[in-house]
Amino acid sequence: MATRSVRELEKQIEELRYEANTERVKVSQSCKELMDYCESHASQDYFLYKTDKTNPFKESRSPCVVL
Amino acid sequence: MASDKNSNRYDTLENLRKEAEQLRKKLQADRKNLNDAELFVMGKKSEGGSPSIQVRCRRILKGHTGKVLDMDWSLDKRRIVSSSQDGKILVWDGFTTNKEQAISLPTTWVNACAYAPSGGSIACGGLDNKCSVFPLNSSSNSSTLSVSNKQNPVSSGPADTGAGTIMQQRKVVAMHTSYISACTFTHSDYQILTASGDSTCALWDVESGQLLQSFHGHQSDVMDAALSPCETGNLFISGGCDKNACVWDMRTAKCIQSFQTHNSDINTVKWFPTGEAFATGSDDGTIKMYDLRADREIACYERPNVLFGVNSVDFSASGRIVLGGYNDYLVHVWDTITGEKLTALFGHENRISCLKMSPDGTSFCTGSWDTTLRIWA
Repeated sequence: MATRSVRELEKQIEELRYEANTERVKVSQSCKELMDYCESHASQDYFLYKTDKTNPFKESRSPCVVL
Repeated sequence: MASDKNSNRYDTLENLRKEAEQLRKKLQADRKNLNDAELFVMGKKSEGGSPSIQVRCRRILKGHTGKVLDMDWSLDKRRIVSSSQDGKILVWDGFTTNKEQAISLPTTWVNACAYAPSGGSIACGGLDNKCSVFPLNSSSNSSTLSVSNKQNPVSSGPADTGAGTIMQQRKVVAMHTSYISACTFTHSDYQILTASGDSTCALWDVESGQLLQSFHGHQSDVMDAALSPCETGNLFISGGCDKNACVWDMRTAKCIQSFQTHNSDINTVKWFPTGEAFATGSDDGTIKMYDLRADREIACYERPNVLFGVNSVDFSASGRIVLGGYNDYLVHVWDTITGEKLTALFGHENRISCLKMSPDGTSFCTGSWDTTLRIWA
């Protein structure tokens, strides 16, 4: 029982050491890159712009022709 | 003698615990030092106006007789597979709302389903603790289904195309010791990643059914898993009932990052399009965004009047918009970078269980406990 918790703790410590040694960037830099991505891909986003590109789901299907 | 051994073991445990505590404190301090900005503050400063969302329900897919639990888009951007509590898997043509194929499983509560990248097969799993792969008929089968597709629900028996033969073609790929909560094909038809109530995720080879890699670390049921959108990505994320969101390296089976800031079960995880951040939705009513490189939570989408749990989240094509399917029957739409709630979409008559953007970003589909699926654009 004790050896199992020793093993578990050793595994946790190994993972914590790995995490502590990874390189991190500043939040401001990360957020800026996120925002830049949104900006540069905005024209491809069907939900942001009314594009002229046909959206098959928006097309009305077989218009009802009476008579 | 015995008491010496015991005290040695105790010392080792104590030392290890202290070391773990020290490492945690160091991590906390490092993360704090890099926390020099807030996404919403930056977002509000730079953006001109908030996006105006004009979305409405364009299609209603009726046919399931039980709660819809999961759905997936085909890469052909029109077909959809959905799974339900009634044990049925239905394949739909999203444009026409026709049902193309129906598969009846001997189990109820099919929690997860996924479309293979080639469109030639689907994977599904649930309370049977297994993930099975079924081949799909190549030609459109809408003519062979005798029921009228719009109004009548699909009944068992005659409507199933060759029910006997489809079960013979079933291939059981994954076996867990508890229910399957999520499944997805990797970037090919040959491997499947599963998440399970047995607190593990696993990677399987479809051909042989062999377990390729097993991911242990969660302390409770894993509710969702998502593969990195990067072509060369070897990472995936998972979220579970232990409130932890974990980032895993598929090659080493190690959890390389984990985040615990939710107050309740995490029901859904989804990558931001860059593969550098991801969102999680939880029973605590919030959607949170975590950044891998900043190694912390960078956003929390919440409102005092949005109280119900989130079951599914997804991003629009540019990532500017994040959508959540909630237990209050609504889709709440948020501006990713300012945190503003843009709108709420009405339509479903019961909890929304799944929500997914189409592969080309033209629309998104929601599935609900009200037995229908809806396509919005």
